Amino acid sequence: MSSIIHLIQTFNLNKLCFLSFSFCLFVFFNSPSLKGEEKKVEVPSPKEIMKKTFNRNEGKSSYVSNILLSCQFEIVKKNNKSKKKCSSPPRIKEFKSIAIEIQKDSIDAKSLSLIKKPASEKGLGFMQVDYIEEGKSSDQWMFLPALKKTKRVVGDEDGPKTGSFFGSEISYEDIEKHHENDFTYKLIKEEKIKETPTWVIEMTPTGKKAKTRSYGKSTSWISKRSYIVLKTEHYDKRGFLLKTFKQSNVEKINGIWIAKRMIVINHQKSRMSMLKLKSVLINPQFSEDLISLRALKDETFLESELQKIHGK
Amino acid sequence: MKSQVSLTKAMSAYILPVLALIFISYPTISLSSEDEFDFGFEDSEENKDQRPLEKKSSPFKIDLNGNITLKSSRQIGSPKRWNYLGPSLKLKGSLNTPYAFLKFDGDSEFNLAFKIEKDDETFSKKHLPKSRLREIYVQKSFGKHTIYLGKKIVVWGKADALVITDVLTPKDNSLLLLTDIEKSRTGQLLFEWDFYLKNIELNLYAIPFPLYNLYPDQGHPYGLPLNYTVKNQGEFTKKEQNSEGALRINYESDWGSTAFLLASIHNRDSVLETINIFDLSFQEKHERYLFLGLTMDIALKKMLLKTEMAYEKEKLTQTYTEFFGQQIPTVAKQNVLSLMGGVDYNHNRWGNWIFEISGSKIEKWSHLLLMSFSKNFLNEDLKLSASITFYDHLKNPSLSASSSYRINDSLKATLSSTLIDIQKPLDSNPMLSGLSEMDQIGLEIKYLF
Repeated sequence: MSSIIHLIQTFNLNKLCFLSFSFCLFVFFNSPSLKGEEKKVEVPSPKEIMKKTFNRNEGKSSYVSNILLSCQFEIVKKNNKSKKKCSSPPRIKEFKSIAIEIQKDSIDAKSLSLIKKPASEKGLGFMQVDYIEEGKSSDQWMFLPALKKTKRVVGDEDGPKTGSFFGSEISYEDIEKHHENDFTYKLIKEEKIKETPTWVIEMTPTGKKAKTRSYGKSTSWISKRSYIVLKTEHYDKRGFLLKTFKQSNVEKINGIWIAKRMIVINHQKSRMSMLKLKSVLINPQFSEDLISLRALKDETFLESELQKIHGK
Repeated sequence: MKSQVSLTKAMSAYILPVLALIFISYPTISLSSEDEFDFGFEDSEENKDQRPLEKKSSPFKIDLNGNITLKSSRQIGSPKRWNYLGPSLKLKGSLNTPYAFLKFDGDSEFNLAFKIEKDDETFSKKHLPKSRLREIYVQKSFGKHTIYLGKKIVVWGKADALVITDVLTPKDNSLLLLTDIEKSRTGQLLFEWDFYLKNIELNLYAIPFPLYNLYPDQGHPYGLPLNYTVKNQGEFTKKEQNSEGALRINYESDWGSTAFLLASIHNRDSVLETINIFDLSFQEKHERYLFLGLTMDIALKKMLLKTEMAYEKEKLTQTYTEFFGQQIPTVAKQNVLSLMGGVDYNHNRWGNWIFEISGSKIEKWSHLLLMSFSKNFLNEDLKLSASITFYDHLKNPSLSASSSYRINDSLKATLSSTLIDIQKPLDSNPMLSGLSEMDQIGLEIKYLF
């Protein structure tokens, strides 16, 4: 699950165009606080907001059944509304994910995903270990059932992990965990997304993170209510819009806010992906040892352990 | 994009005040129009139970998948002929019961090529169809332990192609170059006990009736001529002293993994000893030897460094003796040292590269060098791969290339070719020059379910 929830956390921001910037200035100068019309409400600093977002309570553990769709899209206009529509049947992947927060022995969190469909990829597994140390890249492994082998996914620690996550528009760097000190932040504005008030924060990667990230800047819309990132625009290093992540179907499950649908639009490739949580268990009881290379290569063992979770 | 930025700047001077007014009128920015997506997929069926697993309806659960493939492979060397033409079926599945899991993997091939080419009739009939059960075993996990019993494939080693420590599982080489290494592995009856302790994995194997590598049957264009008599083919497994044992200890750390391998096994490859050269009678021999191995992989920047070492004590090996100008097969027990070093290099733009070199010393060193490249295109629908292997000498290259296109989630087409040119075979392996005629191309269309 943290693979999904980490996606939520990834969203960093970017260079806004001049128009938006002007608008921000306009809003700023017309804000009630400047005019003294309302009581001054203390706005947390953008770093504090993002710290809360990164460290948001996502549950200590999770067990999720996901469906991932990816396709080339075309823009269809109807009744003055534009719609992004798959121009060919989408590729559909179904996979299960489990995740657990560790927070000890330098390990931050562990997650494991296993593909159930399509048949050609059944049994393909992916495991990730995130570290507490700032700037340290996650370790990733894949299990290739045809070869009966576990292979370490080796990326460039000094460069971005832009490889595709299960063939979608989500890249491995998108599912890496971030620390608040990995970026500098700027609060651009406050606005609503579908009646949900948000902070709009621009994030620029710093130091080592700047080298390991393919995005130059990102802009995130953070829900004031749940600290979930409802939308993120990622800009490439030349300043052009590369990807937009949108999260919706936000629900409170076991007291924890979860976005059950995420759409990723790759503007430069005209492709989009939808990650949908078909079902989700928050804080199921299982040992951190379950997320291991043993479980990655042995679906049977993993299934039997998950059955126990299900039975509880 | 640059023109868009300029346009935006130009527009801002004139339209900004108007837009600002609009924004004032709509303090809540509606993003609904941007939220319209159509994946052509019904996503309304939320699982109200919020549980990722199906409700328990039966304690037994069957899972079945596989593929139906239409395959063709034509030899374009000399002589030109079909090597494969026909369909094949692969089935893989599992049965989950409250007591244990049962897994199986089998395939059946219906190869008309031998009939079309008018090869030996007895041999041709064997392939119409030729079925095999590659794996069937029960598995039970409890705590830190997992046990397996049945016909099972075991894969050892870190190399992708030039594996020198993958000695336990026999290979089915009956179609020679037509079979990938992973498809050629075939299971054998064994008992396996796995024990897991933090970063350490221990595997113990007991193999009561080992199986050996398979080669083209007599009658096959690459098999032994029909007038040869080979004793002990398939007989050896019945002898009691054949039982084998093996151990693997793997340690996983932040920087990579290391495995220590130990086995008391018989040579899997067929070794022929001449009984009588005048009536062309030979016997196949398999004898016990001690295998020691070490494998490591180390993650370093973009690369994964791989190494394997193997020492085989008094292993039965194939040798040749000259007899009136002819090389006749003989056997000898020798100590064999093998080494492998390799690098995986993954680059998002330049694709995935594998470099591997392996060497084996019996009396002299013989070695293999492999370079392989693969990259996905068209959003992973198209995969191009190519590899070149040099056998002992740079004048002995084998070039393989394939392109695989995924038409949809269930349908895939693959075009492949292999070109071999052996100009300088080693004395220790006179059979190598025979490969030089085996240039071939193939096409297969696979339906996965």
